[in-house]
Amino acid sequence: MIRTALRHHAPGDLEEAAALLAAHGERAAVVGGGTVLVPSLTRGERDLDHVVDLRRLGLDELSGTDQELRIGASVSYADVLSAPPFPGAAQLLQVAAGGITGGPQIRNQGTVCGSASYANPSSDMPGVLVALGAQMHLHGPEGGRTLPAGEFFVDAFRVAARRGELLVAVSVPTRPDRIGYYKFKLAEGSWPIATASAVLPDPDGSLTGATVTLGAVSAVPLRLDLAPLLDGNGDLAVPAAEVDGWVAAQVPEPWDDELAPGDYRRTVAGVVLRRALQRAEENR
Amino acid sequence: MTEALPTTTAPESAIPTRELSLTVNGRPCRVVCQDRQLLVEVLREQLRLKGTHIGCLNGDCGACTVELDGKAIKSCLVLAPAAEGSEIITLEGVGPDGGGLDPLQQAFWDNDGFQCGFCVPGQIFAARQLLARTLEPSDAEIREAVAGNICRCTGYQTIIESVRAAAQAIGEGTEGLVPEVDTPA
Amino acid sequence: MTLTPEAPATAAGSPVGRSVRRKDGDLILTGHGAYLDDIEFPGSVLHAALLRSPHPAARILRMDTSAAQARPGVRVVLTGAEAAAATQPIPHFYNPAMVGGRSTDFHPLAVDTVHYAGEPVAAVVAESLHEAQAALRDIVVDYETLPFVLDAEQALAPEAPRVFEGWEDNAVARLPFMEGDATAALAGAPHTLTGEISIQRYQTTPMETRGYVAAWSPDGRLTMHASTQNPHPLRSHLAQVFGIGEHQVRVVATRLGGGFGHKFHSYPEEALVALLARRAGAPVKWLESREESLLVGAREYLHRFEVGFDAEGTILALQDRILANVGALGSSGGWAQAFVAGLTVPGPYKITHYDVEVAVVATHKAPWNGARGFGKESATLMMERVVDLVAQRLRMDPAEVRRRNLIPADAMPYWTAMKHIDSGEYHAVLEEVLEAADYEGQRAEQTTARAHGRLLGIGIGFELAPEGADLAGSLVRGHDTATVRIDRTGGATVLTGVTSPGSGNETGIAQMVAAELGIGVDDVRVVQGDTDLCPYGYGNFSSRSLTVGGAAAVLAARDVRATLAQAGAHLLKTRVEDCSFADGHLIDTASGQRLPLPEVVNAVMTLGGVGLGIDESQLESTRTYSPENVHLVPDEAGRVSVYPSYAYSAHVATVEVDRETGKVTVLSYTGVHDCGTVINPMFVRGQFLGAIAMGIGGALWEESVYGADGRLRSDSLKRYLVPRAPDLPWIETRSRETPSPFALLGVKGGGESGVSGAIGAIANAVNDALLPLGVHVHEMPLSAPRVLRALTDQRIRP
Repeated sequence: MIRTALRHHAPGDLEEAAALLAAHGERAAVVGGGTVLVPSLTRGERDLDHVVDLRRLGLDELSGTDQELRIGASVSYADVLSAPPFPGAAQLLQVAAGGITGGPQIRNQGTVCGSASYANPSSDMPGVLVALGAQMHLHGPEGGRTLPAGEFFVDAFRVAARRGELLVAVSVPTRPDRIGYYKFKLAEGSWPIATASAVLPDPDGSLTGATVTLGAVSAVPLRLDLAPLLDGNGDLAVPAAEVDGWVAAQVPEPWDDELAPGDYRRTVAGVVLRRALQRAEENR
Repeated sequence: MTEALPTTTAPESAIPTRELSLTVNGRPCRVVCQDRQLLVEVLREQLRLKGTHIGCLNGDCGACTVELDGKAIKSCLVLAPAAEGSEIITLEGVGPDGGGLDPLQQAFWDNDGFQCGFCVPGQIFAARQLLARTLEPSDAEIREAVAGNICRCTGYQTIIESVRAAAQAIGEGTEGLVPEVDTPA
Repeated sequence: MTLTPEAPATAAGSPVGRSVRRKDGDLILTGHGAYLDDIEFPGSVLHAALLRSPHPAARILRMDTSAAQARPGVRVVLTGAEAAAATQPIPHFYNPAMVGGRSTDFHPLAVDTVHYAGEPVAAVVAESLHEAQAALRDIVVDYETLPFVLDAEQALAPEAPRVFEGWEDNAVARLPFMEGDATAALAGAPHTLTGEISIQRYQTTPMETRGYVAAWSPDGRLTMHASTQNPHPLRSHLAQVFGIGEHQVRVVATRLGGGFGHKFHSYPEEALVALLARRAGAPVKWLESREESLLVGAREYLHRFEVGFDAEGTILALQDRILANVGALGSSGGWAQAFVAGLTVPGPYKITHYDVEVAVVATHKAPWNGARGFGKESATLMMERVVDLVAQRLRMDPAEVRRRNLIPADAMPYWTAMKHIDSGEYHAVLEEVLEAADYEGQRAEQTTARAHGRLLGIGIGFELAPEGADLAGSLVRGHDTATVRIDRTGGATVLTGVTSPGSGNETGIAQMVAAELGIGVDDVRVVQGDTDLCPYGYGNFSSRSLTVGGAAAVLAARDVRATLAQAGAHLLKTRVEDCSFADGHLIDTASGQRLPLPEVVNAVMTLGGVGLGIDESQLESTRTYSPENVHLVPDEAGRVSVYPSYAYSAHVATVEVDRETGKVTVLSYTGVHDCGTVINPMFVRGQFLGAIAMGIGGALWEESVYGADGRLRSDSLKRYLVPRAPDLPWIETRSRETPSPFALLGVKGGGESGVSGAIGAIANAVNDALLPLGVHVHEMPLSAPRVLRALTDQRIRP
């Protein structure tokens, strides 16, 4: 039950959308799949006068070059899943989309870009996009600009969009990296407690150059370079307990909510990291 | 201490409204709604289709599920204006045109796939989407398919049995189902 | 499960005992279920919204409703003081004073003091719900916040803030349940062990939340449509609150989208909505939001136990001190679950010396209402852990310790201090579940798994489910009433005082009546929930609908059948005892002559009293069935028993604990239950499956968490995690029928069975998995963070 005098806009071009968002500032927001914004309005947690609907903007592109894959703001998880297998590292996105909490309905409705814009620490997409080094394409009153995912996620529930800007697409590289994704959640209905996205670029199969990005364990995704843990051959040189200790030390301010306390997230961060690596190994 | 809540002052008359064109259960219709209304509210209030239920208004329970342009969606997450021009099927529109039950609904009845019945929209539409993809679903696939819905009565097991039975019946091309259970005389 | 196709309802093919599909299934499956919010009422219905306190304890210094009043569309704004002035206090569902406890008055809205965060303090009625909710924001309340206490133990400290003014301390009641001499028996026992186990605040989350629509007619009559489990007692209460004749109130319980105890009456919103409708001069509707619904609690207990046993594993004595955190009490009877938690001990076990005390403690959390299990789950959890701890200490198999302590079948009926257990074959059911679960095989697999470092655990849970409570002196009675009518088309109508939460008892009752009258189940219409139509009854609680509601209908149907038989015998010139009923016919079993039932009915109506051998043409009967085996007057040993029937079940769960994260996965599950004679096997299985799923959810994930600010944090289904399909294993079930010797048709309650056994089995399985590490978790739910803490925290070694 939305209490405010909400006005729904479905602009036909980006300029109009940006103008609306700029004109109304805090009183306006973008609605994509609606899975987060709409219930927050219903519950009275957000108070808006305007929503800007993306549906007429033609942002449903899901297209690739040999370098990257571009995913428009209206592309749902279901669209991602029903597309042909993504090449290379981009496959991570498909793996993660298959495990989105909320069942098939939410996968039909929720979008990659919507999740990114919401920037909930306890969710899949921020970590995945940071892991891939995704480029975030914004459009605002001054035109378009692109930011790396690592700079896009500023804080819990806060992204680096300026007044009037909306996320119109993300592009992810299709480098032939091996990837591994591991998500830990308490139960089917739980949002992720900790996620790990492993990206292994070495064609010879070692962990040289490997990164693992942790999601849901802190306010913004943490991209960890595994170099300190590797020996000269690019293999993990330390036992599991030591990996876990090192990882925990990288999470000074763990995310804390009613599902899991911060110290728990810090404790399992190493576990999910190792399991993501293991999955990447299995993807060899 | 006084709770500081944001206030709104607009009277009902100043709430933005519009006319929507929808096709609901095969019938084109035009309906006047407020911009702030949810699709589930328009279906229930303006169109008086009460089979789409409200269980949480938070996208968690699935009781408000309908099919929108061929996809199962939670209608509490959709602002009504965003449904402009779409084709919607509600639980009332699932069965055959002349009334009665389709094989999936029939299987839910025969296999006790619900008790109180409140969650039925979510289960039926999730199962429809699954069976459109495969008629040989594994139990794990059925569980995944209905994961967006909460049922507090059945423990889901008879839902799984119902979907299995429906898949088999549809696969065998039987018109209705051969009921495994007693049909009261 | 093999289900046989329907045969005609002949004597050999009675619909009783068959898996008949539920009535109205086609309506529900096509979206025509007509739950409360689906019903279209004539005229325009106004909408109510409630302002709830953000503070757990506060004094309301000032409330300014003028801005809200002035808003467009707003028709009524009501404060607590105004509501209290216009109504009598809300009667308690079950007053703690009845068991010597403390009590207080409750009103539709908080009057000057707030006792929990979420307590309603003001109400708005407007032309639309949007307007009503928006107007809430314009009500200005000045609160003086007060100190508050959320923990039961802290609440009992002398310096603790009092939840209710004038109370000496926060104890609502201290309830003793004892038999023998536990102190002496503990002192003399060869072995003793002590422990502590807690179970979390929980709630049942029916998919349809509560709701009420109230309307006053010009003649001063109140009609309330309610998503409630107890329409008649609600009518009584509304009449009392408004000081009007009970005949001036009609309550219609609509089709429920789940009950589970959440919809027991005596909530403040019931009287409130009626009052708002009176003030507005128009019908008013209020629907509970999911957020509001999640405020309702249940089941927060701490057990401190000591058990004495011998080297053979025989339990000699048990002492249990239970702390129950019932929140801010309220008029709803949820606190009474703490009474049942104490009463249920020692469950299915023959323990002759025990001493239980339940301290029922008020805190600044929201009040309880019923939750399927109703306290029995807490007692079962404690008992089942105790049995496993004894086994662990003696290095015995937990199944063997159960064998040595279960009440033997030949000891039935069996008296404990508060229970007269009707019947049961506990040992046989235990063996059956062990066999069905391949317990021995699983133990062997466990040995292998453990050798590979896996934390695999197997847990047994044995549950005793006292059902059909009869709490004399209150409106929570065990008896119920039904009217059965037969009409000229040979169809029957049953008007019953029991209601269905969505479980299908209307279909069960139809089966029972159809069997008596030899007609089809579809020829029986069952009317429930409308106090203008149905005889006074207590609705739906304590798994009693078929044991008493069904039995009353059977008695009434037999009266009708007797009249028909007498007339039929006259018409066919045969003996009454030769008349039987099947296929919609009256049959002379001596000659094989058949008369269609409508002809017999027609004859009675048109010729009764003038030549059919009957004096009256009465074709309906109203009968009340009171459960036998209720002993409300203490016997010479001082024993009483408020529950007539005792269903029971045995469970085996196998889990694996992720050593690195603490996450528990249920790998397999088997349950065997006995609820006496089964009317509809498909429904009984459905109830059992659903109850087990609820038990697993409560054991592993569901938890109502409060923040340090005294507010509920688990206020959405993203934060209160109920099981979803992928969370649960396949549940293998079997059933056994030991008819109750004390119940008509031998039926025992079957609606709750499974919750408690599942909680016990899961708790035992998880702790069994942790056994090789020498740690245990005695804090529910067994969520991953809690289990991992146990795995890493050496301080809690037993």
